[in-house]
Amino acid sequence: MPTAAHPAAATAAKASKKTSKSAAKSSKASSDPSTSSTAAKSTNDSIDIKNIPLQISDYLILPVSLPPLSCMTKVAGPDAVYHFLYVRPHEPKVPTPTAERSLFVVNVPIDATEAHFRALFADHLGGGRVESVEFEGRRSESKGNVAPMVAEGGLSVSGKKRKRGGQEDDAALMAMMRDPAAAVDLPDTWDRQLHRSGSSAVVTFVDRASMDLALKAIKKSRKSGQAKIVWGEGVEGTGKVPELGIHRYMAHQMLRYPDPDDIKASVNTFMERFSNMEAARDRMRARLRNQADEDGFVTVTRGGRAGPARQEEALEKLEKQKEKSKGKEDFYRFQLREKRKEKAAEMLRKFDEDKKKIEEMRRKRGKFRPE
Amino acid sequence: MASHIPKRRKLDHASSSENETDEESFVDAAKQIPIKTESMQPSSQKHAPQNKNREPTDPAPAFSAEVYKSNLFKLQTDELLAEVRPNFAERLVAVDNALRKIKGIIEEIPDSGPITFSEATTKFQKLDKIQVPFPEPKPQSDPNYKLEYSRPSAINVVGSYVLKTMAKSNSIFTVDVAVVMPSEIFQEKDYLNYRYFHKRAFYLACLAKGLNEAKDCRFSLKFDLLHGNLLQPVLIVESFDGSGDYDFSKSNARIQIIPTIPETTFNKSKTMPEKNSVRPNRDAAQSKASLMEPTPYYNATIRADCSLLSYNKFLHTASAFAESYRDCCILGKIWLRQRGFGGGVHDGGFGSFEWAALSAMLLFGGGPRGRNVLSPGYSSYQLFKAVLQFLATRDLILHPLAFESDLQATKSDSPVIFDGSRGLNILFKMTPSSYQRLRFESQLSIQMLNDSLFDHFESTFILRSNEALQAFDVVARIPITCLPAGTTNLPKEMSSEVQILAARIFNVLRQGLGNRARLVSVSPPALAPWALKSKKPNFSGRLEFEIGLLLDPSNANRTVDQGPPAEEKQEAASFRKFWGPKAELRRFRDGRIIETVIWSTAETGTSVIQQIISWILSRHFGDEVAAQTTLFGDDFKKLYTKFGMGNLDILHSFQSIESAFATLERDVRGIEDLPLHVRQLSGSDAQLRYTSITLPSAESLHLQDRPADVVLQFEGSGRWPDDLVAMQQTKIAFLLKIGESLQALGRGIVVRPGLENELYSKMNSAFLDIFYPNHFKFRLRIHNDREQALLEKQVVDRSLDPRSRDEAVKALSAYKRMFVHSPLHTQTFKSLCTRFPLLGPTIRLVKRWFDAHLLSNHFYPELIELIVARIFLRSYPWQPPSSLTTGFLRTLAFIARWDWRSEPLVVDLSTESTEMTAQDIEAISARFSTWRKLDPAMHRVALFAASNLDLEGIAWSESRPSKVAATRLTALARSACLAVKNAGMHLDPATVFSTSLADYDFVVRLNQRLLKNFRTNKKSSSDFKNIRVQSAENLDLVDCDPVRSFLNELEDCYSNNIVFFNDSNTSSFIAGLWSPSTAPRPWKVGMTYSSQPSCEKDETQIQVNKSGILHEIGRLGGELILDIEARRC
Repeated sequence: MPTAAHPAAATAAKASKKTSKSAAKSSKASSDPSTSSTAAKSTNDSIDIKNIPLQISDYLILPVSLPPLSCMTKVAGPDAVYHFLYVRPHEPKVPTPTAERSLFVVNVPIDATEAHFRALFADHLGGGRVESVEFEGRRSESKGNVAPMVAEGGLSVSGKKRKRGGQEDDAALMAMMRDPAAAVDLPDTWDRQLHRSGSSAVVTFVDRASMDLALKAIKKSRKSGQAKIVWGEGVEGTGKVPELGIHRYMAHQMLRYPDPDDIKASVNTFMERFSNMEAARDRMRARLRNQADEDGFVTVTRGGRAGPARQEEALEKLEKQKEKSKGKEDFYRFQLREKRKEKAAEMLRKFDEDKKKIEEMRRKRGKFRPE
Repeated sequence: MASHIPKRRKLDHASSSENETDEESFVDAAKQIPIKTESMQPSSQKHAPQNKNREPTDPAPAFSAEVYKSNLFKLQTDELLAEVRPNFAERLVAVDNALRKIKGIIEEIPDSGPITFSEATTKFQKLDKIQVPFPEPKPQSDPNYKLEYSRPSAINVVGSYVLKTMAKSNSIFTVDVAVVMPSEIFQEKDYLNYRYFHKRAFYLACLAKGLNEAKDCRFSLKFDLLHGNLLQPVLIVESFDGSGDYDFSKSNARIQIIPTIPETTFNKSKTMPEKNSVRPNRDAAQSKASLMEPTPYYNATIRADCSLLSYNKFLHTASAFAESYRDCCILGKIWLRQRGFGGGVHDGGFGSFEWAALSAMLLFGGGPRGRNVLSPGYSSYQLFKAVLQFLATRDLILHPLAFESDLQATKSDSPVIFDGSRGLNILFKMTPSSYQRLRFESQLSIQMLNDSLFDHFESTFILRSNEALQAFDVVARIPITCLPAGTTNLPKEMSSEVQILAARIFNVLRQGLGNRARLVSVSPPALAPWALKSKKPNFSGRLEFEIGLLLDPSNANRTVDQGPPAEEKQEAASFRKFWGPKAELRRFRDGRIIETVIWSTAETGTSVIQQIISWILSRHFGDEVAAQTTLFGDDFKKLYTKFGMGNLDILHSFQSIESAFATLERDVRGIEDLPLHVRQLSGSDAQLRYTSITLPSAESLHLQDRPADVVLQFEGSGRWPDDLVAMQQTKIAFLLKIGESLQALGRGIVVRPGLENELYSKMNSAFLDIFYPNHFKFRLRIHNDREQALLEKQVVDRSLDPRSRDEAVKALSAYKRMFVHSPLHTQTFKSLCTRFPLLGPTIRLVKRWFDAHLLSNHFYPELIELIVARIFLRSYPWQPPSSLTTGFLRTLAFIARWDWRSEPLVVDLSTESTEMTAQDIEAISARFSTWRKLDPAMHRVALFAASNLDLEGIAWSESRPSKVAATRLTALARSACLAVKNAGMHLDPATVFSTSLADYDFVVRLNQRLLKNFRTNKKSSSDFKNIRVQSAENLDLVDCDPVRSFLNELEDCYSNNIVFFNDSNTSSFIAGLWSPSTAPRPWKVGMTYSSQPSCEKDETQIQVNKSGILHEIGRLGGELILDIEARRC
């Protein structure tokens, strides 16, 4: 696949050189490295976008240029710096209802948010409307990722928040039994989540058409090589997402120390739920104790009348019992004899070990040479 | 039977010493002694069979602790011996050839016939361009004796070369050739008034001339002094490339030609130590009796020349007598060399010859009633240790060793091992100072060899322990040119003013410093060999005495020295004479009136030691000497103060936080309405064990100051939930409750609950910050020991998915670190810092060093503390550091040397020295090798540091530091050590702390101005101190460190692909290295770094998008970043 894509890209690059706009651009790019020494260093990195193949494996390559940053001048000079997204239709192993209108995006920037993708597709790539973005990683599974609203008071649509307040059904209790962590509801300490470098995301569009539109737009923009897509344009600095830098860390400093009352409320909710859960579990166990399965057996469960309250204690007791039943050492002559034998074997083993050690040390020369 | 043995032996010795025809009788005696000792002493026979067992090929582990320290020690010793033994057959053939040639040449030199002194001088000067190396004082112009050369009566190779006890070293071998001058050219009275030495010098010049003129071989010839003894010039023969057939330059050897005389030339009784051989000038009309002072040094030099061959035989006999004798000599030689001892006057006067002679003597006698101290059946290690033991325990000044002699102790201040049969005190070149050091070192080594826990092989033989800055707390150089002549009225006979001065400096320093110094070492300067045609150099060049002091930290900074009471007139007078105007009479509170010397406190900039040294030097050697003396000792301390780390008295500096902690404990225990009782409140923070870099200050709140971690444990209760998450939540409820109660106390305490480990619900998820109105702040966490059991259960629970098991593993190790190890560690280091007053300051300085080199985010501070503790607790081959300088430099040297890939760090921190057992050590090394087997790439564990508190060895080194950081640490420490070594006394300590950014791939320069502004926001916080109201706004910002948060996020985002370095103290840079895992590679979906496609060779690969990532970093950092610089792409 890449081999096929490569010549095409090359010809595309040749063709586009003829147009005046891009010729000026490319001449600028080629002259810059020679003039500035810092930029010369980065020639490895600065890439002529025209040379980038259209596709890699079955992913479309989408270069997005990054806005100029004052601190980056030493690294890249006036060259544009690119980030590369790899995009293809989402094909999960286990099909989901939204899969067919979703794109799978690899190599998401660490500071990407849903707003970024919305803007990217709406403003630059055909105007398709994004319904939601699901980022890779646990964080995005359990907690909302578009944060500003979250802080406001749980308006977002993550699963666990919905549970709050409402009468918990058995299914919720069962879920909590499996993983009580899901029920923890402490306030967030960051106003915007970061992603691991190189991670992926699933972008779900409102409908299949929007998705197709987006895919087509990507191809088109690559082929024409004209429109420069700038990452975060119209998102960063417009109040749509929390700011990065010092503001982010100051905000974190505030969020790290929530109001004690908020914490208290959240702990209380959890504890209440937890005790509900425990009660439910005990009920369930009690039920199981009295219920024979279809073969007529009763499953043995914890928490009967006589059993110790905790498993470890039971294990400890068992251990002690074993110790007792062992009998005395050094009582019979054969025990002594065995012991002596063992000792001799042990000494031999140690001697061998020492020899090995020496051998090892000898290999690393200098251990035996006085300094 | 036993009763008459000594008698017979004594008779033997008497007869042999009476017998004057030496060579034959000695051989006889030597033959007899071994036979007798074997037959008479059952003990030695008992040892012999053991010796047979000890063949290196014998695999049976028969070497018990008595014969060798341990198996490992024995094997290591064998390796060492094999390593240092030069290959005689291969490398020294050339030397043998050259020796034969030299012998031939010398035998061809024609006799000169009697010649007068002036003739000789002019002839050599004019014709041969050779300056005859006459020792001082030169003969008068026309002495009434003639000089003469005639063919030597024998030419023999002597010393370690023939004994085969040479040991490889960095310096060159010396092969000693004794040229025996014929007795005929000497007269009976030549031993008097340097006549012998003048004739000897002439003889040597003739030898030099002969070798110089030899046609068919070219050597480079030089004069030198034998052992730096000015009376004994010798000829050095070296070869260079192109020496022709007899070139031995490749064997790294030099030949030393020593003129000697037959043992019978001079009457032995006339040259005994108590005799005078340098008659006073006839002009001086003084009474004869008062001037006939003994001239032991002069006499001993003559005896040494007489007995060279005889000793050679003696040592030979010993090596035939005891199988391991040779090895013992080699071990001794190495031991001495590593401690800077040598036969020369300038390096102590105790070298390999003295060691060999002493061990030989102890083999044949030396014990009570003439019995032998060593048994011939001893192993080399036993011999070595027994000789050391002898040196360590026997004070040879008070109880001289007389071998085959009934010499009675003469009162002197130098050590004596008198060999009766050769009439020589073999220690005649030692000074009181060098003997003090020898004993000190041997005592230390004996202690170290008696340590049952560690084997200290390296410290005994491998480490060089005489690097001045590492070995001594204070090093000084006194330039010799400044010493006014005639400052001394000591006997002239020592013939070396240098030595006299050395002794004098030693005495003055020892008296002046008293018990402030444990050891005073004075090394006189050495003379280098000189060319034949140049005059013998004297010490007019800028040669310096090197002084090394080991301090006693508990006394070193005392400001008042009390002398004798005023009533004791004589003592008081001598005290005043010593101290001069500095001595004053003071009346003390208890009514005593005492001569006193007062020093100003250390705050004035110069330490008390420095004040004393400069005062007594200027008093006893003149102002000029004092002014020109250079001193190294306080420099690191000054730097320490400059870094704002306070003074060395850390117990005092940390006292306020200690008392604040006590208040906290009282307050927490005082809370009444808690459902559970408080069992323990323990500190778990560097601030609470005297080791934090910054001093916890009561002055103001620094926003980046972290509250001190404390851990609260309740009495056990069965009512905790049986679930980890629920337990964490319960703990939060407890924290809130405690906070409310503390605030309700109404003493201005402010609390602030905070969240942590937001992503890991199994880990501790909240803490409580407690602010006291006096600005001390604590961070309280609750410890519940059920967590461990629950986590351990989850770790092995196969029904859980791998990810949550991983999380459990992580949580378990975090739990152990935070709640188990850290409080214990804090407790232990607190007491260690009290035990070793310098441990705390050293730790803090070393931490500062880590920080200066951007390493602090890679190392747990506790690990650094363990490393420094190792320097103090396993300090061998030195004593525990008694100054910041030695502590710091030894730590660096240790890090530089530590081969962490194959060696665990093991420290026994227990105050009772017996807490760790050999089994523990074994278990630790077993665990270490398991780790290396499990994780050979060292992803999880690079450094392995175990202690009695942590036998697992990974509490403070699991996943931090990475291998890269550990390697970087070693490299940095190595280059620092090299710089220190090269700079020597001119070291500027600040250079050790300056780091280079050249090795990093990129450097993110942080916006200092912004950070500073941000930090100075806290001005308001110092305001509220006055109004005594703590506003919540200000407290919100305590422990706010955006750079740290930024760095943590970077580490999370790029965990495996970039290694970040940062100095948390000044926070001026974040430097990074691309991991090799980011090399170009074929396409794959689950990449862990931002990539870009690249087409090479018609194939599309992906590679790391460096500028893209740097841009991401720039976006994330925002205003925090000034600029980013990519150094290597």
